[in-house]
Amino acid sequence: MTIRRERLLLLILLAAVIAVWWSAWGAVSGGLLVTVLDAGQGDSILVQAPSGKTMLIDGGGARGQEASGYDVGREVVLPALLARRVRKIDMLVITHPHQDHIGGLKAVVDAVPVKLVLDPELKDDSAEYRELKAEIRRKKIPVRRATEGQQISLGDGIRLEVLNPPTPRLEGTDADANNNAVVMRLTDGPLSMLFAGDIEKTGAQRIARWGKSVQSTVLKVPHHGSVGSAIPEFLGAVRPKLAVISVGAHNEYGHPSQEMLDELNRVGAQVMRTDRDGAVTIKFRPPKWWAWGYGTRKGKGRTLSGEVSR
Amino acid sequence: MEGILNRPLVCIALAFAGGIALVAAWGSLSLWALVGLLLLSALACAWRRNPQAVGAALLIAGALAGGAAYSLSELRPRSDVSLLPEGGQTLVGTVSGVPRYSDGVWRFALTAERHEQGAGSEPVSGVVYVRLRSDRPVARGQRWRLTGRLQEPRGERNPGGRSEAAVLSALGASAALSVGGAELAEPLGRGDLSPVSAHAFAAQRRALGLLERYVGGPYRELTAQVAASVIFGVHATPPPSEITEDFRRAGTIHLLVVSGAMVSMVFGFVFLPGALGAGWRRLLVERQMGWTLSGKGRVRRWPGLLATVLGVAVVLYYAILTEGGQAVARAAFMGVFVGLAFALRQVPAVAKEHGLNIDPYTLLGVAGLGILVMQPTALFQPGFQLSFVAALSLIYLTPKLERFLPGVPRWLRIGLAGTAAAQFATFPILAWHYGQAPLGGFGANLLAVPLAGVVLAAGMATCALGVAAPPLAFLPGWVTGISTRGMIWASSAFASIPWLSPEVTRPSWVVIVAWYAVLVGVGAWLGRQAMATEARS
Repeated sequence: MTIRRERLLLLILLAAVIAVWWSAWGAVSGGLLVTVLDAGQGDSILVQAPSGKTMLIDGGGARGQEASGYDVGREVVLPALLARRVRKIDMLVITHPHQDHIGGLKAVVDAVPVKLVLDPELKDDSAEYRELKAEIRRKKIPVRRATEGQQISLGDGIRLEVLNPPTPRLEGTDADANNNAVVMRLTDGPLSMLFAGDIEKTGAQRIARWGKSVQSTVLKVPHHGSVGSAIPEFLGAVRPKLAVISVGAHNEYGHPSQEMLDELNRVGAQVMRTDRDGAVTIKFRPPKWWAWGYGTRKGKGRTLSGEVSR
Repeated sequence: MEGILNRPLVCIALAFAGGIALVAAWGSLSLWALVGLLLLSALACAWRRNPQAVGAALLIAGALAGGAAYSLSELRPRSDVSLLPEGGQTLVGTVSGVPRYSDGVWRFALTAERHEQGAGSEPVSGVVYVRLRSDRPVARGQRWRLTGRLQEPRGERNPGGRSEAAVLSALGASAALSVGGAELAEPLGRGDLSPVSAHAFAAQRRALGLLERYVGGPYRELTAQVAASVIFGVHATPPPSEITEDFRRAGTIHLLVVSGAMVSMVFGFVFLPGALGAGWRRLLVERQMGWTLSGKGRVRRWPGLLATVLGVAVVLYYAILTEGGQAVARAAFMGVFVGLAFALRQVPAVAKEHGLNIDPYTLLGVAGLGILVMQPTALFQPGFQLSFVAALSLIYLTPKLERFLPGVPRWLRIGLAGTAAAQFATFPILAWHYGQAPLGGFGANLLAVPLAGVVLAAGMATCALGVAAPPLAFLPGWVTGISTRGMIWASSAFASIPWLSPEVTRPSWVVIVAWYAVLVGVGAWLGRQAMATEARS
């Protein structure tokens, strides 16, 4: 091979490398970022808007975490906030006061300044919830009662609408706390994401019959993909392109259920799971979106992407 | 890379690694394919008897050996703790890492010996990472019976990477055990540590105490923690997460986990004075392709042999002391082989017959082969990949990149070119495993690496003087403190620039292959340019 040809080949290779790296960086720089953390059998979702506003939805947790000495807030959520350079949380959302959603929040509230807490203020007298509320009071963080119809702006045209819980709260359902969980729809131009909390049948049917369209590009699957949340009417209304299931590996509940996976498959959603993909980050840059897992047990992350017509 | 096919050991190491990768990717089918190829090449050897056919057969045999070793390591019936079902389990084992205590919880590595179930028990192997909620003191080397919840380790699964993965993989642990209270933990006395390990652990405890006492400068406690991490690895006394996060973002985290460079420095501290004492005034004369041991004047044999034995012993002791990972294993291997080469040089007949060229590629190949033979799965560990790729880039690219810096003093030229070479080479691996591209690594490493050398030397002097002449230990203690602060400052400064450490999606293997093809191509082209320039002049 002559030196001239060698140089040409080198240049082509160099250009190819730069092009692919550029696309890799392009996929992660700028835009709205939503990260569904791998918080085990619990939920914790970080939303970072291009305006610099940040929102944390739940803080993970696990039953008996106090006894085991493992604090998901300290071990997972705080390091993630640190890595993402989150120095303050503009809004902390407590979807409902169950241990797998609030277990790690005390460590977060302790360590990071929080400007506002959105809480459905459901009846719950668990020690964890009491301690968390006491910590919020001690820090003098304003608390707003979450209810359907609330609209919140994250700047740059990115909006958040609260779809659940209704006023008055649902009562007499199979699981009142779950069905009254905060459900929100985040919209960025033609792209959207539905955070479905832990709603089950009654809550899911309410959302499906919501007056406006709830069709969403991405769905945070309700209640870790349990069989009680696999409601065809709800999933048919949302018709997600991507469904993210926040679920712990080898969990004792058998989540996600085969019924949920089948339903998601039926509506044509691609599925990412925190037990397999690690933390799932979704980046919205209308009309395109990208999603990637932080890694799997075998060390292979996945990247999915898509585009929605305006 | 030029002339690489003339290095049989490197070729065999590469073939061995290739065999592992093949079998890992395509399973036993590739093993049968390799067997078939070996038979074909053996037939070709018998038929033609030319050296190329023999070489090909040897390479295929090497790949087959690699593939077989990997298959065996995967298929071997294991009694590893990771194979136990998740949930409540009782384990008996020895504390094999430095226990850390915070917020009422002990955290340590436990080398498991037995798994107890009801009245029966069975032997198990492997290391578990234990979280024990207890105020009772825990010491390294103690045996414990612990009952708790066993969990599969969580990998690098979240931004920030401070989930269990970082800790567990560094400790070689294959599961985590959460023990809810002191009543579930029963001490069974001192473990069966080897005398050398017990001595190393005791020495490390003492050294950590001395560092805490004598390291000077601002924020003494924090500075001592970081200095201890530089000298003994991050398990010793982990610094606060804010500091480690800054080091990670700046691409200088390798300085906190005892890298091959640290082992080389330790080896150098012991080996070089003795070697120079032996009369080797220019011990390592760098040639184009490697290093040559050469001496002028009278050679004294005993100081050289003493330096060799001491250097090798200290490196092995340091490897135990720091519970080092793949980088330490690589550097220790290389140190031992340099020592052996030097020892051989003392034998006049060998020196006269063969001279003694130390080829760094061969040295690296032998070290890699040694590690892979012992642990084939190491090929897929980031520590192994980063260590070997960085070392290879230092050997291959640094001399070529130096040409771009004419007029710069040689020590600075080597530093600049070496840092750039290591950054270029480790970039795809960092992106693949950690999803980050520490672009600030070049500047941060340029400042922090020389300071780490000072921290290592001054820190060791602090420990030595702390034992021998305590009133004098404050002097190196201050040097340790100031240089450690410098390292922290350099890393924090580069980490604070957001666009210098962006997150990236995982690159495809095509990009990685293309990246290394470009690096090798650029290296080859620069090498040829250099030769052409030399020929012209």
